[in-house]
Amino acid sequence: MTNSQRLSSGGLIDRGKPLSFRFDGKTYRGFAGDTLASALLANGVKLVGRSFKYHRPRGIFTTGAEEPNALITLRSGARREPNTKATTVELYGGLEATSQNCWPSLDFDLQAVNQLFAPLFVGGFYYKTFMWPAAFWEKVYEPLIRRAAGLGAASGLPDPDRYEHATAYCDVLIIGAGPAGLSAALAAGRAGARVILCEEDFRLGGRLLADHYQIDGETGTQWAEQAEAELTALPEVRIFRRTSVFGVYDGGVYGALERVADHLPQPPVHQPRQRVWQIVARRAITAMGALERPIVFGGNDRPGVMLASALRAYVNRFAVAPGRVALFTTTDDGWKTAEDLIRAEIPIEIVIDPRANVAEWLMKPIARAGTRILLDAVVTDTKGGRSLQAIEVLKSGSKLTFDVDTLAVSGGFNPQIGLSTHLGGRPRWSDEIGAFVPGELPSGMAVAGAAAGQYKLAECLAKGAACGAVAATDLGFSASAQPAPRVADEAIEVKPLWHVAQSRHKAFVDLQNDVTSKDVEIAHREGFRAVEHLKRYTTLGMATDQGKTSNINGHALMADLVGRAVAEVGTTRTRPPHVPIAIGALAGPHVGAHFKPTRYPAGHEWALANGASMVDAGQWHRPRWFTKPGEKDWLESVTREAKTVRAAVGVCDVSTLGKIDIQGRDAGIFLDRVYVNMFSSLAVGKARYGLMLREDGFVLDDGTTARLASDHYVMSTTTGNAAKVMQHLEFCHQVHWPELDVAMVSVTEQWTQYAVAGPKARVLLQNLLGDALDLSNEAFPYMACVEFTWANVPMRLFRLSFSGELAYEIAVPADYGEALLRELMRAGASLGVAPYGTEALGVLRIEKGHVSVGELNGQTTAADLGLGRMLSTKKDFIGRVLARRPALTDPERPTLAGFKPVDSAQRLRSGAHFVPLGITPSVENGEGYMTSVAFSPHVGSWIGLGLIKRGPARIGERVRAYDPVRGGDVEVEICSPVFVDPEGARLHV
Amino acid sequence: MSEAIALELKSPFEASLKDAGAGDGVQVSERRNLQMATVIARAGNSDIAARLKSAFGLALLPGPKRSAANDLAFVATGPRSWLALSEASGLTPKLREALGEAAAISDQSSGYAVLRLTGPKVRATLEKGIGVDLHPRAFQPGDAASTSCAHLGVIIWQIDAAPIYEIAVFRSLADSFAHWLQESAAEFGLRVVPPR
Repeated sequence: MTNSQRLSSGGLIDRGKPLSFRFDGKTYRGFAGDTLASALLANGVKLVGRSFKYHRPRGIFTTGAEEPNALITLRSGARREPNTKATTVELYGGLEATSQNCWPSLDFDLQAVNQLFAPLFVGGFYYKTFMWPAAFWEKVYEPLIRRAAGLGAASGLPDPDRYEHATAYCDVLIIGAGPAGLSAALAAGRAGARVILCEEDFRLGGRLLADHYQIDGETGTQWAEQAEAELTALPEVRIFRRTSVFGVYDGGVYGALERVADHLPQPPVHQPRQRVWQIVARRAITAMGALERPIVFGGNDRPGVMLASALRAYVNRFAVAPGRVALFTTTDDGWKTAEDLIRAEIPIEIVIDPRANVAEWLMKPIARAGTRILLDAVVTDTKGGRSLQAIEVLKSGSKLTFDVDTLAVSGGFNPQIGLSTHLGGRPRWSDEIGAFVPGELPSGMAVAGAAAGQYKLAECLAKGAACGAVAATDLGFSASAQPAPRVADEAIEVKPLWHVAQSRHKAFVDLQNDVTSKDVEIAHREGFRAVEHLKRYTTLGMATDQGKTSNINGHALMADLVGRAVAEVGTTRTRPPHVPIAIGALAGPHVGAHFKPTRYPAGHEWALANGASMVDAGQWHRPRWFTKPGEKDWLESVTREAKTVRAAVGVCDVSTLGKIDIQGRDAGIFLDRVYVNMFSSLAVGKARYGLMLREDGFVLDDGTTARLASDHYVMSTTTGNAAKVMQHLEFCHQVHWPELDVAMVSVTEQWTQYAVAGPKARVLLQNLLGDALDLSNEAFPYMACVEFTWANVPMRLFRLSFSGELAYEIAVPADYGEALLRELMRAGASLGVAPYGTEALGVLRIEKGHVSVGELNGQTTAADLGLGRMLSTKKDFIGRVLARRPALTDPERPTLAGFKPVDSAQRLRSGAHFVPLGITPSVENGEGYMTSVAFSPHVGSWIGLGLIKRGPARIGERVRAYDPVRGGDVEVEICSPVFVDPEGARLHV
Repeated sequence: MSEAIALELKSPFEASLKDAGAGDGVQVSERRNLQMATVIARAGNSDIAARLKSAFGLALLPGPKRSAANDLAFVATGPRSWLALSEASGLTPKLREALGEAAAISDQSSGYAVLRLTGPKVRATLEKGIGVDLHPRAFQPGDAASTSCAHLGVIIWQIDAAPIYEIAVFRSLADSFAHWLQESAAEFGLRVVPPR
C-alpha cells in the first residue's frame, strides 16, 4: 500500500525507516516516528471504529490520550490489548491491530441498526428500560447489554509479559515535556536539583513538535532537541519517556506508568512490558498542556471531523496530507491550522468562524491563498456515509453546502487540570480563556504553561522556567536567572461556542459514550442537573478517555439549560488514574507463584527429595505427607505415618511455629499478664502450655513457653498466629507496660525445630546424642527443657508432645537444620523412623483432642475449648474481664467434644453442622459444627472434634452431622475429645 | 555414634542465588559464616554505648546507622535495637559478657541471610523493590534502614560509596528474595561472586 495521504517532505518521521503493519488484516506502510493513528491517516484510512451505543462509524479525532473514537485492539493472542487508543500507539514493524465493536465488519456493521432505536438509548436508558421484571436483570438484560455494548474483548489468556514496580525520589517532578516542562526542567536541573521529567510521548517537545515556532531563531523542534541534550547531560536529571503520571497521592507521592516495551512487538528479554513508578517528589510542576475541545453540532462525529490542533499536528509532525479541508473555529488558534496547512501547500476550501470579528492579520494570509472565509457563520450538520463528504453551513439565515472530506474543529482549549483535582482541589473558571484552570493545588505542586491557562509560547517558556527556579530555590538550591528566549507574539482569543442550536441531526457531546446534546437535555428535564448526576445519568465523561474532550462541553450545555454561568455549575473532579492502567501493571511482579513471598524451612529440600507433598501454611511451605513407593493415595501415606508415630518413632518439622525470645527481669511478670495461666512460677529448665486471650476475652493463641534462665523464656506460637502474637506482645509492652524490664524478638528464623515422637523417641535421641545428655524419665521428665552444645553446635531440647506419645522437640540453628534432619533419620533408621507431615500431625492431635487452627478460630473462649480451668484466679491478665461477659459464659455455648460416626464406614467432614436427629435441618436448630476431622488408625474410623451445645454433658448422645455443601449427612455419637490414652500415661514413660 | 558426627552447615542462598541476564550491572555475594545477634536495650539502661566502647572500641552512633569497629558492626534496627554482626565466632557470648544486664542478646546467626551488593546498576535494581531513597544525597555509607523489599522485610545498610550495600532478609525468605533480585537485575546483568 502507498502512503497516498503523505506529504513528500517534512515532519518528524524517518522516511529512511519504513515500517509495515496490519490493520483489519490489510497491510500498510508507515515510518518510524509515526503513531498508528498518523500511519492510518497517511494511508487514507479514515474509518477506524464503531461507536459504543449506536455503532456509528468513527475515525481519528485527536492525537493523544484524550482520543474518544479511535479505539482498536492491538496485537493478538495472549498479548491482545483491547480498547487501545490508536493515537497513543507508537508504530513498530509488524504491528497488528483490529477494529472492534463491529460485526460482521467495520465497513458494514449490523448493529448500526441501533441508531434507528436511538430514542430507546437516551440518557438513563439502562435504568428506565430494564427495570422490570427484576429477575430479568441478571439473566437477560445484563448479558444482552454487555454483548451489545462494550468495546473490545480481553484475550482471556495469561499475560506472557512481566511488569515491574519501582520507586524513585526527586526534588522536582516535572509532568510533561512541552515548552513549559522543558523550561522548568532546565531551570531546576541547572540549579542542581534532582529532577524527574515525565513525558507521555516517545519524543520530548509537546506542541513544539506539532506547531511552527521560532525560539531564539531556531525551530521549536530544534530548541526541544537542545533542551533534551542539555538535560540528558545533567547528572541529577532523569528523563522518563513514554511515561504517564496517572495519580497524585498524599505526601508528595505520584503514580506513573512507564511503557517500557509497548513500542516493540515483544519486550526484549529481561525487560518488562510496563513499569509502575511510585515517585516521591518534594515539589512537582505539572506542565501537561491543554486539550482542544470540539464544538457540538449535528454529525460532529463523522470520520473526517477532527480537532484543528490535531489536524495541524498530523500535518506538521507526521506529514499527513488531508484531502479537501474545511475549518470550523471559534478560536484564534484555529486559524493557525489554516496557516500551517497553507504553508504545507494543502488547500483549504473554507474557514467558518462564528465570531463576527477576527483579527485582520489572522485572516489575511488565509484569504490570500484563495480560501473562502465565512464569519458569523456556523456548521450545522455534516453528510456522508462511512466518512465525511459535505458540511452544511448556516450564514445569515441561508444554508450553504460544501463538499469536503476533512473538517477541523476548534472550540477552545481546556487546561489539563485532572491531576490538580486528585486530592480534592476544585477547579476555577476563567472567563479570560473560557475554561477551567486549576484551583487549590496539592501541597508542593505548581502548574506551568497551557495547563495553567498560559497559552502563549512566551508565557510557557517564562512561567515554566520560573516554576522550576522557584521549586529549586525553595529546596535550597541556587537558581541563576536566564534570559527569556525570544519568540513571536500570538493571538489566543476565544469565544466559546458550546452548541450549534440550529443543528438537525444528532450532535455528540461525548463521542466515546455516544452522549448527545439531547441526552443532556433529558438529564436536565429529569432532574439530574448537578454535574456529578449528569455524569452518572448519561455516562458523560466515563470510560477510557474520562471525558477529556467532552466534559466541559457537557457541563456548559447543562449550565445553559439551568440558566447559570459555567463557573457556577462547575465541573467534575477526577480520580486516579488519569489514563487507563492495566491491572497487570498494578499487580507488577507479584503474580502466580510470586503473588506473595514463600518461606521455606531449612529441611525443605530434604523433604522434597523424600517424597513430600507440600501445603501452604501462611507463607510457609510445609510437608503435608511423604509418599513412599507403592503408596496409592494420601490417606495411605498419612495413615502409615500416624501409625509409625504410635508404634515406633516419627520426625516432624515444626520450625514454622513462631518462636519468641523473651528476656528481662520482668519477663515472668510480663508472661503472667499475657497468658491466662501462671509463668513466673515456672521453674528454670521447664516448659508449660499457655493460653492467650484477646482483650475481648476470646482465645488468641496457644503454645508452650519454656524457661531457659530466670530472666529468659522462649515462647512458641501457632504457625498462623506467629506475627499476630509478636505484634500483640510488642503492643502490650510498648503501650500497656513500658515500665517492665522485658525485651522480645522473633527467633523463628534462627531455630530449626523437629518433633521426635513415638515410643522409640528416646532411643533415637540417645543413638544420636550418645552421652551428651541423660534423657532418662527421671533426669529429663515430661515438660523439661535444656540448652546444650553438641558437635560444636548450640542446641535446645524440649520434652513436649502434641501427639500424646513420648516426644521431644530438638532445635538447632537453621544453618544446621538440614544436617540435623539427616542425622535424626540416620539415628532412627534401625527403629523404623519415618518423617511425617502436617496431615499425620493433625491425625495425632485430633486423636488426643488437642485444639488447633479449626478450634482457635477467633470465636472460641477458653471454656469452649475445655480449657476454662486454666484461667488463673490469682492474677490479672489480658482478656480476663471481658471473658466474664454473660454471652461468653453462657452454658449453652457450643463446647469442644469428640465425634464418631455411628456407622464406622462413614466419612466425616469438617464444617458439617450438628442438628438433633429426626428434625428438618435449619439454621434455627443448629447446635454447633465440626471443626476438625481425621481418619484415625487408632480408632479404625473417621473421628472428629467439634463445638456443640453443652458438649461434655452429652457424651453418648447421637446427633446428625449435616453438610449440605458436600452432600454429607452422617449420624454421629458425641464422645470424649480424647481418643487415645486419656490418662496421659504415655507422656510420662 | 556421636563422636564422628559433624553437622554440615548449609547457607541460605546456597541453592537459590544464580547469575541472571547478560552484563555486569550488579555483583552479589553471600556473606557466609557470619555471626549475628539481636541486641535490645533493656529497660532503663543507657550505658550500652559505653560498654561497647570499652569492650570492643566500638563507637555506637545514634539513629539509623551502622557503627563498626574492627570485625564488629552494629546496625540499628529500631530506637533501642540493633543487629550485631561479626565474622569471629562466639559473638553472642561475647556480647552477653560485655553488655551484661544492659541488653537482651538473642543469637540470630542463622536467622538472617545476608547479601553484599555492588555494581553500577545496584541502585537501579534496588529501587525496584526498596522504597527508601538510596541516592547519595539521602543515604550514605554508614546509613541503615529497616524497610521492605517487594513485600519482604529487609535491613539494608551501606558499606562504602562504591556503592556497596548489604541486605539482611529472614533466612526462610532467601529464595523469594533471590527470585526478586534475579528478575530485577537481569536487564543489567547479575553476577554471583564467591562468598566472603
